[in-house]
Amino acid sequence: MPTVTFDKKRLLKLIGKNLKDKELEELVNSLKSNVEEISENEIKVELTADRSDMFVLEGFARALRDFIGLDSPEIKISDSKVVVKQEEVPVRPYIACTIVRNVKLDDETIKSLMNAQEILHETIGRKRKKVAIGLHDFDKIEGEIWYKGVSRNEKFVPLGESEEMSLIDVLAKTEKGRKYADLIINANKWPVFVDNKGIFSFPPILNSDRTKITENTKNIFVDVTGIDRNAVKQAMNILVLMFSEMGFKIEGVKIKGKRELFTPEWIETPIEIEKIKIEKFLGEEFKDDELKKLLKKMGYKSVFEKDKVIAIIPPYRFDVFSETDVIEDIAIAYGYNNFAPELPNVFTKGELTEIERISDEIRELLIGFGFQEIVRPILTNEELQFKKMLIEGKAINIKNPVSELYTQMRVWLLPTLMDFLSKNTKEPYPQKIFEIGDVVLPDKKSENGAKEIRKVSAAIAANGSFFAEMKRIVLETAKKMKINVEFKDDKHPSFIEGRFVRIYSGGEEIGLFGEINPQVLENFKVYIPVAALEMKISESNP
Amino acid sequence: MQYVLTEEGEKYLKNGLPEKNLVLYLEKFGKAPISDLEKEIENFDIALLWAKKKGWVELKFNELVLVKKPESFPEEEALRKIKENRANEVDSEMLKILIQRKLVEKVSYTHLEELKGKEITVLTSDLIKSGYWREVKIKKYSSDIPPSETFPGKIHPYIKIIKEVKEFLIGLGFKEIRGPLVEINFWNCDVLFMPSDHPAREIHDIFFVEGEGKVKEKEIWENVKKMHEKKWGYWDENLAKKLILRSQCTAVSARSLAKIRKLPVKIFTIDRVFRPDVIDAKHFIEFEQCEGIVADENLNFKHLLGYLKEIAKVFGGEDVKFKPSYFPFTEPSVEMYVKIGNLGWVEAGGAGIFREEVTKPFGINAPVLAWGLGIGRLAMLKLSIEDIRYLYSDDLKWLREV
Repeated sequence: MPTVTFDKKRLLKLIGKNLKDKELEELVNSLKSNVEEISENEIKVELTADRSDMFVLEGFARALRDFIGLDSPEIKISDSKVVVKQEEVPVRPYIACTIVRNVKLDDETIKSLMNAQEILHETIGRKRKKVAIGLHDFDKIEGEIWYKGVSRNEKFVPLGESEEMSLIDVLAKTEKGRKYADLIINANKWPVFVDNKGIFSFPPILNSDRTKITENTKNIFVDVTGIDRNAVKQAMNILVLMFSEMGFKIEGVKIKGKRELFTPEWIETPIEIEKIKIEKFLGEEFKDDELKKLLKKMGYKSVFEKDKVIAIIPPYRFDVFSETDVIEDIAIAYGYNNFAPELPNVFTKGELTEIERISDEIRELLIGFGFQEIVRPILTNEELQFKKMLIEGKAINIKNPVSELYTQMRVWLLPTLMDFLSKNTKEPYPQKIFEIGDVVLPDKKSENGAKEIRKVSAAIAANGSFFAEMKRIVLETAKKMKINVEFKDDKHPSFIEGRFVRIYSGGEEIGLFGEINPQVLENFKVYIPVAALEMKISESNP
Repeated sequence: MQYVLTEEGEKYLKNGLPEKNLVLYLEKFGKAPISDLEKEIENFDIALLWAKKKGWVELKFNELVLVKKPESFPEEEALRKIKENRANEVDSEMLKILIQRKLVEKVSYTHLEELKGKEITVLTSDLIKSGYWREVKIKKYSSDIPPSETFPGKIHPYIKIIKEVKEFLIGLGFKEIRGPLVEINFWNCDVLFMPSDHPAREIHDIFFVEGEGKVKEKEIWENVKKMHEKKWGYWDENLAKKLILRSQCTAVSARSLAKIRKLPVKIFTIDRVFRPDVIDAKHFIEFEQCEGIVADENLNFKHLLGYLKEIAKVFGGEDVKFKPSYFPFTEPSVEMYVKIGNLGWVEAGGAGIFREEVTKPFGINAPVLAWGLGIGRLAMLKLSIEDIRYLYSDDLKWLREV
């Protein structure tokens, strides 16, 4: 969900209506976006990822203008007769070009252009990987225009430089070059736009200094390149929307490659929707003229037949795939709060899962024994759950951790409790705590490579011996779980030798209890005896 | 040295010794079936033990026969004497038996002698039994006393709220389901129609773990593949196989779609999800999500709003309003806000109707309403906390006080 800040005055000017902050906020929120802040000069908006046409100020304004029922200018594309010859460039195979005429650039429009490029690069462009945009002064371009792949030793003067540089030097020595080098570095031929004077664009890295846009620019040449045909088209059409809203004239370009293509591909796609489907889906009946108005509010032109509506999807909308998407727009235009909520008669019986039901019983039991429940992260680290506990073991590791405290899934609960006790050594003792939670073990045989176990662990930190109390709790827990348990005296590095017991049920080991090894207590800086237990409640696989 | 009756001794003195009651009962007919006696005679086991020992009764088949009628019951006499403080009249053998039978106990209060007339701090059981409590002065306490540092065992406040929400949803007819924490990317993203290069699928939004998962549902796998290729133009199969930590509980709902056999279905889950966020007051790397679905023929958008309005009641708000939103897997998508006292409008959850692109690969043609409730937000409101980390707190003082 991108968050953008728009110039409020320019926005209102584009909408063509003076709105108070409150009205503007309500209007923006009537669509999918959320207003985060409105100040005297700016409006900060959280946009939703689907409405890429609203990422640019001009598109945003158009959507709002449509919604309040004002007329938006028709967007038309004429033919420039300009041809761009396209060679095969495998690393960035798709291009679209256009020429924007009668341009008048002032500070506001230049700022708008820069913002638009930036957000389109970040979002649809996936940081220029999928799509990159270049804007040039068309009057500085001479003769034939080519899109081709060239060797890394070709030279040009990149934007902001005074000397010629080879393409490889551009990657190595300029800021943008270093930032985006990965996108092309492994290709044999690198993509460039060339005219009679040489390279004037090096997508997705840098433009040339020669064709740079200035406030005197009268005509703009736009190049959009990328690795995804649809994304290239999407970025281009949003630029067309933007330039048209600025009042400039758009001219298409013929791309002559293996095939011929006229860009921008500004195609108004009709979509047929049965009226009954709208009714069934929304639970509300609409008259034709009402539907027409609602569709217009969302930027659609529409034609009506007896049983169906034909809506024309605006060429800048790339989030409308199917009838349902149009129906959603109808609902938005109607206003979600104008629908009367209804509760249907769907009779079903509710219930808890068995695992939660038993967990609840054990929870009640431990609370009865005077234990405070704790809830802690499932993520932990090796130091905590193995080393400090004096054991070795394997856990499921995260490949992209964000903190060294949380690098792997816990395989047992007791270290979580020890960690908790270590954070609370200033609190009065006795401290009796428990957690009921999940642990995750690696399991190659399972479809998700993991085995998840619901467990309970309890600990008493207090002067005195609570070995016998632990046994009592184990027995009572077993009773709740309706299982018989057997005990076996054993050894475990985390526990005092001679004060450790393994718990079995039906021959399977299901838990343990005992008194914690003072070395472990020292590791956790808990300077009071701790008795603890841990038992499996249930095991689950997907 | 002093002897006193135990509780059991007092009872037998009042109601008769069990063996005496047995003999008196048998005297009427000379014999009786065991099954009757078990019902009629209190503490029959004890009665049988002693009556046999003394040679008064014999067991014949299933009947007990009185073979010798006792002349007296000296134990009872002894109990009476002890009760009347005449233990010196009871011979030592009898005393030994009564003590063994736990009808009498020996007490010595000589050590209490020295407390006479003095002030004591702790009142003891011996002081009360011996009556010496009359002879001592009990030290006064005052309400100024610092309270003891003992604390009750308590449920975790967040778990308490989660349990309340669960009960509420169960009341609405929703059945709880669970899903795995370590998930196959396929279930977390691909079946939810998130394109392979969706920004929310990158390492900033999802924790990846080593290895690949195996999707058993081959047909669904193929259908999802086709759907992505048709609508997005491509599908990264290897990405779909990757193992991750579940980043949304919609993955649990998605898995449940594969299991739907008949309608209607109403299910929910409240469980942990993981996100590689920078940890601060608003973000933690783990948190709970509460999600559910309703699937049935003929459901529509108004029903979605109806369910949301009902579910929103768990927030205890006065009013509810809806706003368009966007989720990759629902269309339409809704955000829900509730109005709470002085807080104003609070975001309470998100919802929508699953896209066809989500339901079709499962062969589901009926509408599926999907909703999520901001359970963490709800808990923070109810507990008046502003830092999400308190929900997973390591602060015992807070847990004890909250």
